Amino acid sequence: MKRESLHGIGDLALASLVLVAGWELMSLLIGADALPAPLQTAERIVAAFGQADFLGDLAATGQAYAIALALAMSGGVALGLLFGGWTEVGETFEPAMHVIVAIPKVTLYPVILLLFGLGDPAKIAFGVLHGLPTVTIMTAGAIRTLKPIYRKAALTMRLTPRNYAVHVLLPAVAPEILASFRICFALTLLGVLVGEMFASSRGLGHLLMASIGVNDMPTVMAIVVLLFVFAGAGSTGLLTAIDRLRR
Amino acid sequence: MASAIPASAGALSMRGISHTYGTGNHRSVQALDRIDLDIAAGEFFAVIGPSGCGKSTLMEIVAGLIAPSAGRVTFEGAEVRGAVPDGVGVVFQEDASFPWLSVRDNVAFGLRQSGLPQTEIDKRVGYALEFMGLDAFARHHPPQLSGGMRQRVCIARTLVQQPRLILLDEPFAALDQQTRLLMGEELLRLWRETRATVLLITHALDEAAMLADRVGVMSARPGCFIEQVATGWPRERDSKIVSEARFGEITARLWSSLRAESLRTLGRESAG
Repeated sequence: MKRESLHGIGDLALASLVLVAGWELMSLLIGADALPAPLQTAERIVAAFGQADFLGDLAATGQAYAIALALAMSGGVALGLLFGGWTEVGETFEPAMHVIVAIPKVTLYPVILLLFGLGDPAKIAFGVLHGLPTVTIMTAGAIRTLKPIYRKAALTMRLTPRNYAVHVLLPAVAPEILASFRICFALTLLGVLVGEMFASSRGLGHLLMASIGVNDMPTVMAIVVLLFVFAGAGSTGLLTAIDRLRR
Repeated sequence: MASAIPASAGALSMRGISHTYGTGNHRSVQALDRIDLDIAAGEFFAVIGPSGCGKSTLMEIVAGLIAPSAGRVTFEGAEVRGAVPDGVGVVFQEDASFPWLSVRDNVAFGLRQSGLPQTEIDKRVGYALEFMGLDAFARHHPPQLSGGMRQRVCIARTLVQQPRLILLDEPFAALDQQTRLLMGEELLRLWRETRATVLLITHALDEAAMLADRVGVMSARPGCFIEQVATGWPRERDSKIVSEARFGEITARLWSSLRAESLRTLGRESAG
């Protein structure tokens, strides 16, 4: 294993140790009823994976998240290519994307419910609403700032428009698109969870709200830790991919 | 090693080339004004001129990247219009290497798009890498290389296409003086080996005087040729000619033609 990889793993282990130690200390200070200790949370996580209800909620969230993420990423890239490549369309519609990014999206949830009703479509749409604008804006930006020399070089090599798009344009903007996916990965998860919190009868977001309602703090912490680890792992994986592309 | 690059027979002709940016617009700018030029097959022709005189516009017109507002360019008798003709290779001032590809893949890129057999691609790429001194860096990526090395990658990428006309738009402008002299020697070696016709756009008088058989001096905008100077150098030459008295004479003559035009440009910029 390379020395840099070992350093990275060592740093991660040290950071995790400090985080767990701080969490243990906080739990001792404010009480395990309000903040369950790391060990208690770990036990709850292990127990949860043996419960059919929890696995059902996990599957519901996972399914909705996978669909929302696929839609946000593919839709965002498609719109970004359109907005970045076609100036008039970009100038007309991209400001709307900036507005969606800027406003608290929960204010749009009644509109989403009106359009999609209660259930999975609404939380998927809410996830897409969180993730898609960022991918669109960053992809459009990458297209607009693409070095014009690449197009000239492609013309001198007599590339067809299709070959230019596949072999030059997409690889050139890939690092920015992956960077937008990294943000989209977390934002879409947030959107799906918020959607489940307010208008769903299943999923981790719903379970989180139900657990807060009955003051089941070990379950709350178990869900939070699972989400934290999942989002962290996804973000780290994408960051590694971006670093490789930029190297 | 035998050359993988065949002999060439390129000849370039320009008749009445004028170009205006933003035609019909109150902010239109005339870049070129009625340029006539003939470059013989196998000749090394350099174009110098003050900043903004339309040198790069001229090169883009010759390359078929932009269409002239008036006039006609022919390469080997066929009109150049709307597309880069077969047999023409272009090296730009900016780094046009693709950072996501290795040096080898960059050099092979155009050939792969053209659908040549893999054995032919390997042969040409291997030769170009060796010729440009890049074989030890074949697996590197452009961001790992210096500016001079990246420009060599771009030249190698053009070389593998076996161009009969090589267009160079200030290819060494971003390099330091020593590297420019050495790259100039490599360019001369490339020119001798390929027997291609070369059109070099440069702002460096010494570069033009050292490399070219003939140097065209352009006026301030709108650019046209005000003088053409034949250098008289033998085909076998390298950067050592900079120590010859004739080199100084050529450079002085080029500067005497260019000085007034540069002052005109400077005055216009100051006034603007």
